[in-house]
Amino acid sequence: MSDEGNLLEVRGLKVHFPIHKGVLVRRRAGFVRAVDGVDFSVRKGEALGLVGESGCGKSTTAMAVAQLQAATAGQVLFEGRDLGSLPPRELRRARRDFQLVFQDPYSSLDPRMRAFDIVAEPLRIFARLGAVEADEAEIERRTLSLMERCGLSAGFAKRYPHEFSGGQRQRIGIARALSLGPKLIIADEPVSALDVSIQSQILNLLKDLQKDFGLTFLFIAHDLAVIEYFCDRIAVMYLGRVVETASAEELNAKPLHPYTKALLSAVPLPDPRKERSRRRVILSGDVPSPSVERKGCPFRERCPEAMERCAREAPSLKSVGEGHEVSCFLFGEA
Amino acid sequence: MSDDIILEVQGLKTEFRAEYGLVKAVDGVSFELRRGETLGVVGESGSGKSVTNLSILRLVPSPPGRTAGGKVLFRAVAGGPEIDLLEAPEEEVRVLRGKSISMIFQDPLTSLNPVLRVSLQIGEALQLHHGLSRREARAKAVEMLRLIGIPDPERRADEYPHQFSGGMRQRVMIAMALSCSPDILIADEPTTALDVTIQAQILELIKSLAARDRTAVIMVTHDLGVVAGMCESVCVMYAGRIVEKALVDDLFYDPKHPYTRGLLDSIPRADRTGKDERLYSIPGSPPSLVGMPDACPFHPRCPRAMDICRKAYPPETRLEGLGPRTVSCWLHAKERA
Amino acid sequence: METRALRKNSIALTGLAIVGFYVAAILLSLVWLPFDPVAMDTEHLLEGPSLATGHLFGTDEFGRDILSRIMKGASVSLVISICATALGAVVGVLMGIWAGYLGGRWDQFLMRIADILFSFPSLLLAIFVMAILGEKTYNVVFAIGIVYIPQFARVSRGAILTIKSSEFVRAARSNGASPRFILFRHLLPNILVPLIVQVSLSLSVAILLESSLSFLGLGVQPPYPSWGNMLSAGRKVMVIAPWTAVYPGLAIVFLVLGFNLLGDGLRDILDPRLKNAR
Repeated sequence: MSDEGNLLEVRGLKVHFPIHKGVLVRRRAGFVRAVDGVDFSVRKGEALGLVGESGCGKSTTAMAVAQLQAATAGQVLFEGRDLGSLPPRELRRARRDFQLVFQDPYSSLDPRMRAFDIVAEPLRIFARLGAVEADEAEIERRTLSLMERCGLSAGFAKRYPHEFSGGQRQRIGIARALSLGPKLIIADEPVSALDVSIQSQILNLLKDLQKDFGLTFLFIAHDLAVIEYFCDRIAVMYLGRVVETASAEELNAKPLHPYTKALLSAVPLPDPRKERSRRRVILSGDVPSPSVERKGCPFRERCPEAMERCAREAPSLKSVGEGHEVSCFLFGEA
Repeated sequence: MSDDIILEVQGLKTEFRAEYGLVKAVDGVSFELRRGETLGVVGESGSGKSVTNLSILRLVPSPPGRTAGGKVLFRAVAGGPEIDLLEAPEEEVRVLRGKSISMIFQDPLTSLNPVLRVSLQIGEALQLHHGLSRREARAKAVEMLRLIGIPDPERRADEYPHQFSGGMRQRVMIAMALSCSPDILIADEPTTALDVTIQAQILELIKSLAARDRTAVIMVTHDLGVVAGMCESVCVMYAGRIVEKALVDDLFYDPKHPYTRGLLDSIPRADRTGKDERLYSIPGSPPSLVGMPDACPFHPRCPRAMDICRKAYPPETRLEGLGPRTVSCWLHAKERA
Repeated sequence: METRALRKNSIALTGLAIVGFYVAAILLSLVWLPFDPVAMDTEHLLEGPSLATGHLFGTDEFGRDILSRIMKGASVSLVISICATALGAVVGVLMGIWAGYLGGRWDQFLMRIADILFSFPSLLLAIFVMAILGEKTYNVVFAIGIVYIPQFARVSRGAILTIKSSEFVRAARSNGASPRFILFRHLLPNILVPLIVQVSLSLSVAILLESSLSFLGLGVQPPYPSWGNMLSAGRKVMVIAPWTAVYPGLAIVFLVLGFNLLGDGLRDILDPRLKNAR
């Protein structure tokens, strides 16, 4: 049974992409295990961050949660309902409660539509479905007020995406995500493509909107500093699995999983004294590919504390304290 | 030019002709690089940091760009002669590129020739500049691959760039750049496209190789964290000019220019998690580099802009600090125009 | 913004001017022709061009005024090409965008049909269709239209594939848009550029196809003029009366040139414009 306070619960999520080999006759030659058994939950009103490096599966997880990518296994429970089992019509209606903010401000807006129409589109679609009571005048009112709230004055309404800067385009995307009044925002690297001085503007905007609209966030990023700033809780991903989950403060103060420790120590801090005095955990080797089949713990090849057991079995997430879970034989495993 | 200075850039100007006007990408940049020092050049997109470096080595595509003024003085040997890289004949500069001054770029995929084996590419500089034979060059290339941490270097030397991962390719680029033990290494956003754990490896590598050979490094980046960990001195660029220059501790703990201060206050930090803190954010966006008036380019976004900021570009003022430092800001200018 | 660019692009302008000239001639022909194109003037058979007789391009072996026949033939040729291109475009684009968007079995099925059509040389295919449908003039439209279906299907499918995985398409899905909505509201407007270019180039080939069919006797039937059947008739007397073949031939050449230039120019104008981001 799902916990009542959880807006979103993900259980055993897997997304495997088949690899086909051969030209004339295509055989299945294995899988890319982009997401390989992911569990987490997001409480109403909180911001959960998914962080990891390339190939860890965080973006694929986000797409699977958003039902834009079919899952190979597992459940995505939104307010207790399994989204994956909904018939297409109901799913479409359910979408109004979870919306996305995309990474690339340059390709996430239809270049042939005006800003106003881009933001108003979700409302128009739902009005036509009959799921929302709003005539064109009402839609116009709501859209303009939303754009204003996101820092885009009415004068911008008639412009096309290529007339805006990256930061402004992202604001359009955010306004669009809010137009249906969703409960959950899935933000897929919302500031990664922006300049440093614009990033803080957008992060502040998102924080304000979170407060004003009581939003819940699933925030995906590779930049640990951004995640630590924005999110209440953080799930660290590696090779398609969650290796550690904790509150932002706890993760920063007491990271347990060897990968989390390496990740934290690799992030450069804008503080010369701290940089000089810190001891870095430098991992050897490269971020591995998710298409190779693995036995045991996915991290053992690079883990500075790998044991013999790690090659034989794969650990699973176990609780080690207040909301702190780790997937590692060094902790919480008998 | 004092003895321990290996490169001195004076008033460098580079402009581009675009269909909508003249873009002054670099508009009067001056700085000094000491032997064995790592200098950071920080700025956002459009600040001119990358074009500055291309200009130093005369690699700016021309047309549409051209170097419109200034000097780039290079003194290879302490006490020896200095040459102006902008004035020197093309052959001389070509000899220096790769031998005395090397450059590594952000995207290792496009900087490596996809149809040449890695050993050939690393060895090319050695063959050209040190007259090594094919076999000797290959041996050196294998040695370099081992040095930069590529496992099984004998076999991998004969592979092609696409068979290496992004991090490894970047390491190959570094190997190429450092194969001739240059005096200066210019690294243009070398780790921006890499994962953070790989970035840590690459930066460590650059640090250790540079220390070993006493190579001076110009590290161009937008990431202040990288600067804090790698550099001894820093230049902050905005709209084609340097707005502040200082030793790294001075810059981070006592920034003088409002832009520097704004940048430092606006970046989220992994070691500070104040839940209800709002990040400071610099309002507005970076300016267009076409038709810039004679004023401080930052004034529309500056919380401390004064009347004079709109009228004239502030002069470079020397300030007291742990080391040499300058700032171009009317708040600190000793004489007002 | 785009009209200014159009003015600057001399290739497109030249093309536009040429096509415009023909359109003007056609409009004129609706109200006035120097002579009745089917009227036979037995006193002036096979006469060369002369101002005195008023037959500016001369007459054919039946004494019919060549210029009037060319003008009349222009409207026939142009109307047929436009209708045929429209038919091919509508059917082909619909096939192509569904194939591109749906992928999988639909893609395979639709594109195999297109491939089969495509593997016939266009003229043979057109002849084949005419043979089945009969030699009525309007069947020429079907014949040429069918030839075009695979071209448009390919171009539109390719264009769809390039933008199908754009983030704004994902965004539309997440906003509750149905596949049909996405196809017609988002994808189609964004693939107009290659389609417009394809249309103008197709028009030029259509002229040639129609002329070829008429030349072979399969298209417009005498006594009604078509550039193709004029060429065919003129071939027999070309040695002694070259104007009977040369003028219709030139008419074809210049119109085809006009459409080609227009298409090339449009491609230059429209493509970089879209990539002109800040």
